[in-house]
Amino acid sequence: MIWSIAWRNIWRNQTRSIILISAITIGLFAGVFSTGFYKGMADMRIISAIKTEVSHIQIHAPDYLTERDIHYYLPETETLLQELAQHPDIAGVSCRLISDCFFKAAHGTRGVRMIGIEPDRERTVTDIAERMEEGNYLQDTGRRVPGILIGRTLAEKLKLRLNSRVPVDMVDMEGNFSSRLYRVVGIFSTANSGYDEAVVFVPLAELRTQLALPEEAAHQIAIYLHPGKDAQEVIPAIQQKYAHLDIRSWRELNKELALITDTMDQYMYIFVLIILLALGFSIINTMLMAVLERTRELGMLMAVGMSRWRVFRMIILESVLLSLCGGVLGILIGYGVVRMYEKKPLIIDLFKGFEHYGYSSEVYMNLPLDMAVGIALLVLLVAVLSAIYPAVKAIRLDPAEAIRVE
Amino acid sequence: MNTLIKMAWRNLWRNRRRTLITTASIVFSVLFACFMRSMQEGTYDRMIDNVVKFYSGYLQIQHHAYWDEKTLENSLSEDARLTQTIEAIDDVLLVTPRLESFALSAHQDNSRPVFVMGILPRREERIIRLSHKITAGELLSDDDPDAMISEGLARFLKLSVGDTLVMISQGYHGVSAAGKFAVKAIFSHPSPDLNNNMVFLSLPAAQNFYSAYDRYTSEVIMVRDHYKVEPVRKAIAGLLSPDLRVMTWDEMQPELLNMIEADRAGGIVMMLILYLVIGFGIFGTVMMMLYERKREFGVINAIGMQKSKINRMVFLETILLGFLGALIGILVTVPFVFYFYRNPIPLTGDMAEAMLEYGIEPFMFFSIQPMLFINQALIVFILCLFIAVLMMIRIGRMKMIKALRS
Repeated sequence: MIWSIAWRNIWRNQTRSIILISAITIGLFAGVFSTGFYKGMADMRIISAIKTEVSHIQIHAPDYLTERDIHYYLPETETLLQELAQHPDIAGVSCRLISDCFFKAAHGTRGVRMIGIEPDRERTVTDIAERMEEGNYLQDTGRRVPGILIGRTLAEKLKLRLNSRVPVDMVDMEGNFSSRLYRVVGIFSTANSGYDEAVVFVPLAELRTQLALPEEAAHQIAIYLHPGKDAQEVIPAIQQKYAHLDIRSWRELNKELALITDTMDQYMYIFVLIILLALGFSIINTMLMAVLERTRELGMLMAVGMSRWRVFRMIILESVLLSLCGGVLGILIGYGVVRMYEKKPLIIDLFKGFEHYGYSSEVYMNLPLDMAVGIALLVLLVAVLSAIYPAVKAIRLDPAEAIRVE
Repeated sequence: MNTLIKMAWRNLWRNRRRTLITTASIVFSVLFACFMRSMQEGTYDRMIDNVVKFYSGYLQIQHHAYWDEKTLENSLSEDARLTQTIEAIDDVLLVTPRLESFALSAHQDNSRPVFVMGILPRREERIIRLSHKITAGELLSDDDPDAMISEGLARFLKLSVGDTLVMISQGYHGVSAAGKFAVKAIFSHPSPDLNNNMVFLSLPAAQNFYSAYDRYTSEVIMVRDHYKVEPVRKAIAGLLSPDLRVMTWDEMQPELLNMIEADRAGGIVMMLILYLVIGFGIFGTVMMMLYERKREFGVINAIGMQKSKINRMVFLETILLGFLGALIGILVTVPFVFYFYRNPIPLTGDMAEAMLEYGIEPFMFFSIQPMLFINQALIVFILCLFIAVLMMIRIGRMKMIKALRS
């Protein structure tokens, strides 16, 4: 009964209700759309960062990560690699050598991070092989001039093309200066143009020779997990077995990614809440008007025996129904648009500016259902809270006086 | 007109509660928008300031081919007259030559590619205040044979003040360059990238090291702040011979500028969404005011107030309502923003670390650009203008005879 009364009350002043409902619809559509957009952007960043840059788990010699000293390497990694590959949750393992070196291209010099990889093993851990724009992925086979993969941004800045030769300087394990020529065999391009500028790949064996490191030495072991497996759950078992190694998950390796995963949802909820707060003012105003213009009628209802609690519930219910009308509509439209851009990306040229920092401007939106439901619950909460003041106003009316109001 | 304003003002306060709630909603959104935008712009200003002060300068004069091909072959020779002319331009604080290149640095068994900058430390000190960043040792003199290195580099190469840094590189016209430098000071650079690989030499020492006698790669120009860059650029562009060019910080740091623009766009969209929602609230309020006073309009029209005058009154009511909200909002925000501008809010935890990864100090910075606040008032004004026009159309359609009888 009270439901249908509340529903009919809403439609007694159509213009007013429609204005409020449209405000709520637009507000929530914008909220849901932005949430889906930014969440999609963040998810893509995390996925691409794991796939191309950090993998799920990395193993280093103790202190390597803080010192970045080439002397802190893992010796005899072959057995370790094979043992790790046996682990049921692990999809791929790969070992790497890392050296910050001096790149002396003909059209400019600069420092880059050189990563020595075993081309076949690397495929199981990162997707660099699929990111080739020009030329080919690395091959193990020994050539006189070893191959090198460089990023698109670096290629542009140093005017390097396929088959360009680049001398690369570094200091080897014994402290001797070592210079070696590499030939550009491929140019890659990832979602992170900053990464493309800073990192180059060469065959592991070649970098090992240049650094004068022993066979099977590695600075880093990267582990890629099967889908659905969580790094935090896999690490303890490995750590137990290899207590002397420094084993870290992607969350510890890249604080930015950890921050995104931990706080993105909160941020979006806060944004929606701010929109809802702004809407709350309108709801209070509308409900207050609805109460004040019905002073006489409310007094009458109470005089003929409707309890104050019931009047209170009726006002709250009116506010809830009104807000949910707009809220559900807004969320549904927003959710629909998000679903539309789930498979096909929304391309915003202006957002190209984020690409240097690893965020693609082609965004596949994503909005988990529980977040949409969460937002709907927030609408409900704000509707109830905003109606309390008008409802209290209503039940404070003295029926005897209220009926006499013109 | 005066009476009209008085009437409009009094009309607003006929329903005090409603006007207060609507004003509160405008105050809320202006407050939020001011804070958010001030924080955004404050952060950008800081990022620009860091990169400009400790890296590129606001403007640089370079050889016209240097930007595309950063080699010492595309360097400049001294032109004292040009320097003097530029120094005389308004808002120019400093004109100073620099020689920039890369090198491979080493100490004992460790090596690392570094970014070498030959500067006149004492000459720059007045504006750049590099000495404030020094954590050990003392600032180089303008013809010092020693070096000043960044903290991260010192840690990595295990160097302290007094130790010897070895550098190898490629000099002018392809001569090989090698040099030994005593470490005279260690400094901390705000950008983590540069903090890990930056070496300052005095300009003569750098010219000597690279065999680029009396040459430099750029003439760096500092102006008061980044809002003054454009006029100075225009003034300089007219003075240069065709083999020189002037570049601004944003041309030299396109990644930074693009990121700022994308981020700013995101913030502005969020702000506009909020204002849209608030706009509906104002619309609803004014609409209700109109609806309640239908009869009153009929009466005052009947006793001789022309429709155009009624129109003007409603227009004034709407604008006053908006202005009141915007004014209070700005008055409340400004003291806070000023306070936080002087005392940035420190951040901790993952947030702080993630910001450091991006090269921003972990503080919440605020901007006090007057335009930020004026813009909020302007948005509210435009919003109210739009609503007022809608209302005037409604009044125009009102049948006054009918209104009188309602």
